[in-house]
Amino acid sequence: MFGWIFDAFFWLVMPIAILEASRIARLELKQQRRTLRGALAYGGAELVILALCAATASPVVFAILLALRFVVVSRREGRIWDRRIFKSAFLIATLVCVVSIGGVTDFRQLSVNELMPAARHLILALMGASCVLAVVPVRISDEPKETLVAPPPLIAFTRIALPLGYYEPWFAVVVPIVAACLSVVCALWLMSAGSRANQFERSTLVSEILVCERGVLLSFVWMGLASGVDLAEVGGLFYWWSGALALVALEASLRRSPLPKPTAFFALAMAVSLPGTIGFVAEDLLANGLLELRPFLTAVFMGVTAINAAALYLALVNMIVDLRDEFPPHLPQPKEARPSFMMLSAAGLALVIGVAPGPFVDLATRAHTAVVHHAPHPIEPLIPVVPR
Amino acid sequence: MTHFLIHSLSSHTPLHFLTLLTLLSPAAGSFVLVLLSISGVRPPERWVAVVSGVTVSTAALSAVLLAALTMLRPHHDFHEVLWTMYSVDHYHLDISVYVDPLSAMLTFLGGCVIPVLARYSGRYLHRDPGYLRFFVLVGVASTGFFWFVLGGGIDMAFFGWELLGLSSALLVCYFWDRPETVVASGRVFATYRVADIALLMGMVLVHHYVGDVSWPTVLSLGKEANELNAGAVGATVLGLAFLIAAMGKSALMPLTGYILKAMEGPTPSSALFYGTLSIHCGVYLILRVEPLLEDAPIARTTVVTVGVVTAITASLSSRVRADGKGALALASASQAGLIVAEAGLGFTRFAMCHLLAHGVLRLAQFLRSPSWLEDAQKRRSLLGGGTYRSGRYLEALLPQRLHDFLYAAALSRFGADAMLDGLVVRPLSAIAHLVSASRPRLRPTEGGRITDSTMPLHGTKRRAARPSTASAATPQTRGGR
Repeated sequence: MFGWIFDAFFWLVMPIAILEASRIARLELKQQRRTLRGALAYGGAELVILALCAATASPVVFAILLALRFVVVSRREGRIWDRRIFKSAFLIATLVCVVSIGGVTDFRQLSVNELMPAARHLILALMGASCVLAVVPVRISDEPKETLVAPPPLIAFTRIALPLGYYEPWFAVVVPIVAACLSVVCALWLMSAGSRANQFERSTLVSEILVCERGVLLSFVWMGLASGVDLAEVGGLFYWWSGALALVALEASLRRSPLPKPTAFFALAMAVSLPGTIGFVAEDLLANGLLELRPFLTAVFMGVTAINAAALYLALVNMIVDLRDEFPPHLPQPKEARPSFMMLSAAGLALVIGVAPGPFVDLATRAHTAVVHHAPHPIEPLIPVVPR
Repeated sequence: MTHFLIHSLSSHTPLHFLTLLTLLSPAAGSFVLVLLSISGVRPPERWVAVVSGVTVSTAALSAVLLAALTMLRPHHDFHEVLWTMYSVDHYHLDISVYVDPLSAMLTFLGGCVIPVLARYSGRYLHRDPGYLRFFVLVGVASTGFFWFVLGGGIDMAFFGWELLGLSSALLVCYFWDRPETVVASGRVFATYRVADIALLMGMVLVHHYVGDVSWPTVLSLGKEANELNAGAVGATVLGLAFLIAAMGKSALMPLTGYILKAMEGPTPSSALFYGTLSIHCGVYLILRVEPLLEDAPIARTTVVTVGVVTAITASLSSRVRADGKGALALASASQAGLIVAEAGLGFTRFAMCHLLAHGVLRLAQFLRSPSWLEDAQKRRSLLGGGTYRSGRYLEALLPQRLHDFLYAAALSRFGADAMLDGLVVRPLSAIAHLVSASRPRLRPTEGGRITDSTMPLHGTKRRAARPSTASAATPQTRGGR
């Protein structure tokens, strides 16, 4: 019942968990003005819970961890009644269904056990609902503080829905279409926010940009993961990394004042998948994978990437124009904020992975194989151990 | 001696070395300047000029040598995979280079032009606050250009294509404290993004058809004898995708309008992008995929039509343009259209010569444009004064009504911008605003709701502020940005 899976997927999730944990620790320290111990405690709790979520093979343990995370986040954010409660409820309900109706006590049984079609449909529907809730930015204050790249729903989706989806031919049709529609909506929201930048407070605008961009990127991840094509699924996993780095870099640069323009534009380049950054690799894998089976979805994907890039650029340049209004050119100009460590490390990682993506793509491929085909692919040590 | 020369040219080592030097040197320069900037050091202009000058000149020199050596080789081409970036099952992305007479010619043009521009800019932007930023972006643009031209496949070309586009958009908003430049750069970026996506689509389609996007494979796609033949439909779709990409980059109709907005950038960047390098990238793409059009008569006809229409409309518009840089930009677009038409008709060698000559001439014209009036006065005084036009020009032969009609149409650039706004930008923005009607957009200070603004992508037309709230009259109401 309490089995653990330290497969390649676990190692794929770990960088995202570390990124989220360090982002939360930083936010708690800088924005919420907590003590260093308090900030580290919240960051550490996030890291441990996410790592355990990725490592556990038991749906029961996963559900307990989700409940625990809900308590921790509610205490941290100081509120209970928001979208998070529905998202967590859907996820926990999915896991309960997996155990009770499906009779599955280990995620690895999902691809072997013959579940009743009705049970499969229910589980997939609940999983899909929690993913929609995780992706769509309903209120701008909902997500950015809690999480940027929604690790728990996507971990659950990868562990549960991917193996189950192989039994359902419509799964690889309906879910990517829903994800594509979500990505279009989020991109249009971003476009509207970018063009009406003067109607927002600066902090609200940044949150709006982040939640909409997050919606677009996570929709792509979801679209790839549910596409039913191996290459696109690997692309989806890779897009998850890429989205995490881009969003962290965007947040770290946009929240600083006065806006550090070079770093903000670099974050833009990461988000719009400029070659040389990790985003390009993800976009290439996803587009090629989708085209194998779903040319229509590829067209939507391409169109949304174009709208997304233009909208993000628009938002950024409008912020710069606002900046000009805050500090008119005839007055002494304030010195631009120096890029933060978070921004620089995210940008460095995006560049390194973008220039030499081979090992990371291998890891994503092994993670995909481990999850979908349940072949144990433990990560090999970087330095081979020579027997004495 | 001849034997030794042929032997050394046949080996890949010198070409390999020169290619790497051309591709990496400007990127290294930009990287050093960015590191200096991030570390808080404010390097003096002299340092910036030296770092940029050395790296760009190294790249240019190696580019010229590379072009010369390639032309001296027995088969006039050089294709090599430098390394495989990643592979998943049967799919792999290779870093490769491909040099043939066509790419050698454009490499030669870039190698001759970029150092001249760097030298010119060093003086032109003296004591400008964005001096460092300009040279960083010039390095990025040079890197992008050489990657685009020397890349061994569409994926590598796409790499350079995107770098070139982003650096171009960022240089358009070089004077970021003026809202017009920032808005213009948004339009330029959006247009480039359309071109990027079309090229990416072409790349993905090629991969879908044959599983390989290297140039030698792409060039063999259109040949009927080839077993990888994509067929007429495939070739047509590919040809049209590449044409849309070229339309965005080379300002072909109906995407010509953005090139006028791009003139908001400093003159050296206008010369670099819209006189010499970037404007010819779309043309180069059409020249490069021209063999593919052999099997696609529809795509070929469309290419020729778009080229001819652009040549006529942009030429007429440039003649009625009041500002010098705008007229030059439209003239560039007109020549680009002409070269595309030549390529579509199959006159590839002629188009290559035309491209080379046009690039050099336009560079000189752009760089002299700040002294345009002085030059005109000098010429006039050398000619003994008097009027500049003889009165015997082609328009005089046209009937007056047609003349007036063409004049009005040319002034509005044949309604292409209005059509794009009406068909694409406004509906898209209307849908965006409709979909996001429920989103919060209040600026809570003073409790007033800010009036709706038009999309900055399609101009700066101001809409009157609603006088319903007290705050509508406050300086916060900045509708119509």
